[in-house]
Amino acid sequence: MNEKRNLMVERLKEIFDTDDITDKHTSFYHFGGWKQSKRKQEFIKRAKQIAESRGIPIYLRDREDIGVPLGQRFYEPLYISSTDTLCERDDLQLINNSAIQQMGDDIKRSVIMGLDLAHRILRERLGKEVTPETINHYMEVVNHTVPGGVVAQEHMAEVNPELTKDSYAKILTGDGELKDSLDQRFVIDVDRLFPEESAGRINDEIGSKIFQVTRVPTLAVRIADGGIVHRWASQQTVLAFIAAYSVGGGAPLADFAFAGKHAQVITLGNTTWPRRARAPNEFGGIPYGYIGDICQADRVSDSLTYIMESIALGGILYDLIWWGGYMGGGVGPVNGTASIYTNEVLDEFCRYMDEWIQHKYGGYATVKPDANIIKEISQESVCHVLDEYDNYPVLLEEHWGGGIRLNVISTVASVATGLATGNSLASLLAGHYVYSHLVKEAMGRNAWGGGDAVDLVSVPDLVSTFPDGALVPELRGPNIFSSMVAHSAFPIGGITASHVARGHPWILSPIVKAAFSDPNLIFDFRYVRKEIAKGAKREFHFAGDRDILKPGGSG
Amino acid sequence: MRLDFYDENGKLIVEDIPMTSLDLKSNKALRNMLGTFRRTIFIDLNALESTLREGTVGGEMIVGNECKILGAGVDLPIIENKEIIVEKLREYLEPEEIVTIDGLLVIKLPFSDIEIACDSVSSPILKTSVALTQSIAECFDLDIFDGIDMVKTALLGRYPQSVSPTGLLKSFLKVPTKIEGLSSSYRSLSVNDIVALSGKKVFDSISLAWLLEYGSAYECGYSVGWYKRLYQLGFAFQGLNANNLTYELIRECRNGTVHDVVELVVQKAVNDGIIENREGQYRIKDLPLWNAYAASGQLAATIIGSGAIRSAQNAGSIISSYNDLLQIFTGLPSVEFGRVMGSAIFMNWLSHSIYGGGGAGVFSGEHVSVKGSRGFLIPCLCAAMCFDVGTQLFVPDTVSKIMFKLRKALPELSDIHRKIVYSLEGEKNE
Amino acid sequence: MSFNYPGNDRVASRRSTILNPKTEFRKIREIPDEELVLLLGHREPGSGYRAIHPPLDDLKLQDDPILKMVPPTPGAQHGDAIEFLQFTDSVYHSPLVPVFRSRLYSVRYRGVDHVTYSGRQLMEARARDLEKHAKELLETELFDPARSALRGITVHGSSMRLDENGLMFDARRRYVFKEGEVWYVKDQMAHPLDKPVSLGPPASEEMLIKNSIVYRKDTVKYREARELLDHLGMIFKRCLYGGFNPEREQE
Repeated sequence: MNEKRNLMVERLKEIFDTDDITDKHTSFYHFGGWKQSKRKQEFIKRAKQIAESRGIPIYLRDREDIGVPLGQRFYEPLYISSTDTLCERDDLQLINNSAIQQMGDDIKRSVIMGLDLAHRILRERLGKEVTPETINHYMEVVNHTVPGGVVAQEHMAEVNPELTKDSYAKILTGDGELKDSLDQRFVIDVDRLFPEESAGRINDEIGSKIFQVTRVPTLAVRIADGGIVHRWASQQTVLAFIAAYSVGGGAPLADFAFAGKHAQVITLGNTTWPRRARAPNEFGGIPYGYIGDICQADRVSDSLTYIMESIALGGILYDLIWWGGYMGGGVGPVNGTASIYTNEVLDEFCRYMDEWIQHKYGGYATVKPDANIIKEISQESVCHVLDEYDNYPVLLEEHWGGGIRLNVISTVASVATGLATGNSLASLLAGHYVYSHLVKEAMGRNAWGGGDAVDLVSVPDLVSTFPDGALVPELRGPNIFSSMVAHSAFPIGGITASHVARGHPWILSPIVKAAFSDPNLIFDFRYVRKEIAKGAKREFHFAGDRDILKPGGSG
Repeated sequence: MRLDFYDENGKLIVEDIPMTSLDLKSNKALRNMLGTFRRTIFIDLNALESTLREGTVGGEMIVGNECKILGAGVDLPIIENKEIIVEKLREYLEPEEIVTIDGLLVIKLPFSDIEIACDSVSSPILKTSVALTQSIAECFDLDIFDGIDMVKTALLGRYPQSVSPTGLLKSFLKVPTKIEGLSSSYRSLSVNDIVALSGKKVFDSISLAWLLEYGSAYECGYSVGWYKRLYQLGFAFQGLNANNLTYELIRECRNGTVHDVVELVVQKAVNDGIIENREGQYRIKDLPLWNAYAASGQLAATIIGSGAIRSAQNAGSIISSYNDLLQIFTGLPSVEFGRVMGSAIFMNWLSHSIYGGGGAGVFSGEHVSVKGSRGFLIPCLCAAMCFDVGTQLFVPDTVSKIMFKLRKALPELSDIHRKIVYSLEGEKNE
Repeated sequence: MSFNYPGNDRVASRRSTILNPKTEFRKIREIPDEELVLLLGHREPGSGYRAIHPPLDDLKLQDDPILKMVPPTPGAQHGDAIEFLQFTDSVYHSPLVPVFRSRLYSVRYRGVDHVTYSGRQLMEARARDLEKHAKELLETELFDPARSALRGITVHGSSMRLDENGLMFDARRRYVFKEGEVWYVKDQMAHPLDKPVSLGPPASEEMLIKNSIVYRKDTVKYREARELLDHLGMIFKRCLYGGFNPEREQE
């Protein structure tokens, strides 16, 4: 394995600007402090202008009497894995990276509604005909109403479409005949978007059911929260039915509304517990299983890449945005999350374990899960990664905190266990075992201060029949007290891997899987890391800007 | 299995108690104690009078008050007329008991109220607010525009704009919309509240904390099947000093360290045949009983450690270190199979960092950071808090003052270790 | 009864030694009380301890036999404020590392509070107790001035490569290497000291590796610590099975 090209090693040499990455000695204190960072120079320049114009100071990095003197050691840049994009740490901060924000927005603003109940109301209660032609007409109308157009009431204000141009609705069905007879502008075409076998299984599962996938505008989730999404979509959908099918009266409308808002609606996230209460469709309420469904890399990449893209997606969504937000307020955990999608580190480690599994067990999902197998795979994962930290002191320097390291190592173990066993529960237990015991006894140091807390609780809880235990991993998420804290990379990795190992075309829902294959989404969920790289380079075209509303704006 | 129970002097109280006595379904005395927490409502009438006079209703701060509605103040001599108000409450609520102590009005509703109520945690405070508002309205002849809304708002705060009552009318337990997890209200008392209710007595605090945790465990289904004995034995040994184990561990290790307690508890477990050392490897013969022994050790370690520094701030580190040493030295599972250690680590980190923690006293069992441990952690934090001589800002004497008064109004909650233990004997005899 | 750390390799043996309450650690430097006080930065040398409450004898406390049974530490007895002491430990064989600091504290010291992080370890204790423990932790083989450091703030450095002199990185530059010795020029909170304090020369690399308590390629490879790994596997299995059904036969 050693003779193969090791991209991680190449990246490390480049970012630390040295050929010898095995030396544990270097020099410090002569790099010019924060000035070695172009971004920080830019920040300071801008901060001075802001301070002058607003009269209140902002960002005082150049002041020596305020906090830590940054840049006393070499300020290495980062490569986004799977790309050639080199960026600074600041470029991966949530507020600084528009792609990361849009990734969250595109998930949050999505809602899926079943149309079958609405069609039943039309047919049975109102005596209307529902045909491909009427559906096409309805889809035109709904693409008028969802972005903010009015259809029923006179004298209403409407929304400037320039502000909601990312908002639309599409149709999803497994019925090939119906699909072919619909206006293709409105169809999420599973056959065209997925590999043949996956498409067949997704279509079979969805069957003749018809779903409307609605994207409310990015601005909607910026002015409100995920709770606005199904309400916005439902209201505008009912209005579209009224107009498209010429429906009058009152009570049938309430049936439409109930169908769209409650009876057949798929919101991606549950509401969260009171202390960190958020509305539906916020990230803390999204179950882990949906991450591998939202991620679309499996359509275009090999298995490991798909797993890596899913981990990047879930890690950012849960740890950087959700946990960082409710725990720390938002200026938080960039480094721990970045470790899973930068410098090819996780990729390289998982490739090693992938080969180890092939060699040891003869393939994916070939070994029956039990405590000994979890121990065996976890041990190999930990020993290998720790060997690499020993071999490359710059890697240890790059992963300077226990939380960063544990995020990586537990994910390697979880992915490996998922691949070997095809069992998501085993994969989670492996991650928790690594986090709670294995690294700690090797290094005599573990994660951050509370890092292993949820792991110690989770091992017995994952298998306990307590009401709050034994929830299947695919349905777990960071709203559960024993899995909530900056621990998302390994569950996502393990769960996704365990389904990849068994060749499943989706993780939790074929409907969600298909809904996010939609090419009109702003964020391309096939290439999570490439998109983030675009954000880092400020080349990402995001939605939801309000420039036309500025003085002098036009549109 | 039959157990003996000892007091805080290491003296035998009752002996030869069968495990069935710990069953809440059969032990009426324990059910009554738990019932007190659901059906008791209280309010500081002095605060009510001044709040109404100043118009300072609806504040959300725990310390201080940010709201004052100009022109809305109502000057009502509530204290002066409290007897009339109480009489009216008797009429409307038919309570089991009403007492006033230094302006604190304590109402104990009849058991039937919480038997009828589906949400028996929320119901008593809602019902009492209606009765008290009407009593005050009638007492002072208040009409629609005479401030009746102010009276009700003073009692329930922003509810229903807020999701739970936030006014001066109080119950022991937090309502379900406020807490983490279903059937967790018994776990919503803070450590400070429990310690204050127990008069800062170590064994009473532990027993009361355990009773509440045990009530919640029962309610959540942990008293069913596989888990029943685990929690019964935990309650008995860690909560009630069964077989004098906790007391002996404290006594023998009182000058020692966490390590000394680990050594001793393992030794005792070997001697008592609960575990055995076979060629250097410990084997477990009775896991729930081992867990109870380990839990007693955890409590003893906390008492010795927090006792030594006379502060509660090290409780989290002691509890996590005790369990850490125990498992790395012996290979035996730590208390609750890692749950306590994990919860203590989290609690310790939160209470020493920038993320909103506060000290041991402000934690409650259902809090997200500690609810992973069902029963075995909070009693230890309570014990630690009894030793705190004023090293923390949020302590029983400052944030749970009202609980000290409630102690006087609710004699059934004092000396509770002994009362619980005697109830077991009663069960045995029955 | 006495416990050993699982395993027989030299790292495990050293860990057992570290965790043995009877171990007397070799004293390798003398830090005068005045200099210790300066390094900690909690009080001026010669001044008394800051108190947060009156001495226990002057307090009226609840009448409780358990309370009376547990003796307070001297610091608690006097009402000392609770102060802090924090170490950062290099991955390159600091003689003591965070997890083992917390274990050692739990084995040897009464009435201390601590939090374990990956690079640093925080101890809080009554002032005079803290100074006593600090003395042992700084004056003995448990401290190496190049690989262990006092840091109350800006603690990073544990995983960094070492500088030309083998010293651990410190963004606040609390110490400098001069004439073969490590001199603290700032206290643990990085406030400049009027007079530098020497903590002596760093140990040789060979000595650090010999006494290391870390499994690493230059000590013992982790995958070779079979007994320890099996021990951890047993803990994992027991917690898993106990979580599922504590009444089931475990062994």
